[in-house]
Amino acid sequence: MRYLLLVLLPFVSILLESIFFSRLTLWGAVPDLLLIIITFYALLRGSRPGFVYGFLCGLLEDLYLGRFIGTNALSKGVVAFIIGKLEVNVFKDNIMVGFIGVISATVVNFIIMTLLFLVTVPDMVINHNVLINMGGQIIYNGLLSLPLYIWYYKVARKYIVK
Amino acid sequence: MFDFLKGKYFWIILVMIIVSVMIIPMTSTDRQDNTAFEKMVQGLYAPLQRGVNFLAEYLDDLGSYFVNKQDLVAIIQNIEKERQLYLLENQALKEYQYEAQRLKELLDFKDQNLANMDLIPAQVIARSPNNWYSTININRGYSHGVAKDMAVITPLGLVGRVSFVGKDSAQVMLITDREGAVGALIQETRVPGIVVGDAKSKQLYMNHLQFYSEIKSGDQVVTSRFSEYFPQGIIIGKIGEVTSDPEILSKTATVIPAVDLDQFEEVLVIRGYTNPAPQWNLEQPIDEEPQP
Repeated sequence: MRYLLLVLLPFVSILLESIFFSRLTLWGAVPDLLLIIITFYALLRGSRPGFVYGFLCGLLEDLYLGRFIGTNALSKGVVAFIIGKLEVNVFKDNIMVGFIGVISATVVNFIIMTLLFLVTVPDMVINHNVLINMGGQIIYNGLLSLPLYIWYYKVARKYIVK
Repeated sequence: MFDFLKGKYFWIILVMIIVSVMIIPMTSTDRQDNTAFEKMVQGLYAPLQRGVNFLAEYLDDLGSYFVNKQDLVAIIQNIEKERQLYLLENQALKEYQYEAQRLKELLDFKDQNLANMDLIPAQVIARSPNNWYSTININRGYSHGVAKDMAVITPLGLVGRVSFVGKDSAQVMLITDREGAVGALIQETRVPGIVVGDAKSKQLYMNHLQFYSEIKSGDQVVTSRFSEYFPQGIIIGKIGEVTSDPEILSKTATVIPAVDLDQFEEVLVIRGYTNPAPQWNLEQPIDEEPQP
């Protein structure tokens, strides 16, 4: 059950993002459900398992998108590693842990992805529209993290983190 | 001090980082074909996305059925309720009418362009789940004759080009994507330039415009004869704001796309095309032999 959930969650996240949330954008931004579940996993399991899980989930997204394979894998792996460092210092029952964790993860993910694209795509432009889009994603991810953290925490305590 | 070297996670993480850094530049959009892993993952998602789309349409139909049934009850119970339900039904019919209209436009467009374009209609089944790329997935793949880099349009204008092909589905890179540059020109003045996108802001810019060229807001931008992937003369959009850069003797303009790239549901894939032949003035000889 544990492994089934760990595989199904990223798979379903990408499916929901591509067919549902892509039509329901906020300032042009699609929420990153994959990043949200990786953040939750890292918060509950710690940095090293978080990195491996984040990397594999990011790789699945890269393979689906079919471009610059490794960017999302590396970015999400590093984000999970950093967020996972908080694991021993936070009170995981608190819903705000998930909220703050997801917002921080979105910002860190944006910075890493921007750096990776600046290195791989020389004519990459960062303008105010990009920042508005990122703002939209921070709010979207943050709002979704509240109900999702309550659900994920319950499921994770039962099946994922025993 | 170097105890971390003994941990298995350190080596796993190190290998993952090294492998990623090596793979990223090798998997840009320039490569000819995608790997078997990518095809497998895309192949897993395509039927699910088609299935969910089908389910959504079926639920819409089911919704209309219940609305109709409620109509009959409402006629007996309350005339006002009946009127409201008729309005609801009217909305559903309008939706079908719009769909029929869109499909008719696609068909008309296809008929008009049969002479120089081989077109195949396709339905949008998914959109990019990622804010960094601007793509859509369509329900036509190599089994329908779709191939990489084929142009994708609607009757209103250019949409993008095929970036990945599966058996029964394909991924289309929209013109707003950062890597979806299009060779273009302004239809009225024939000023050439390059239209580039920006996936995150979903805007188009026309770069490398001659500094002394006459460009004004509202001018129509179309694909150029020298465009690598697209037939000549397909509408891209209209010029918005024009800014000059005297330092590099060039102008840049924003382009308002002709197609609302967040809204369309059906597209046409151009499987083959021939650009119209240039019109030479044959009455006047180019090189007249000097009379002895």
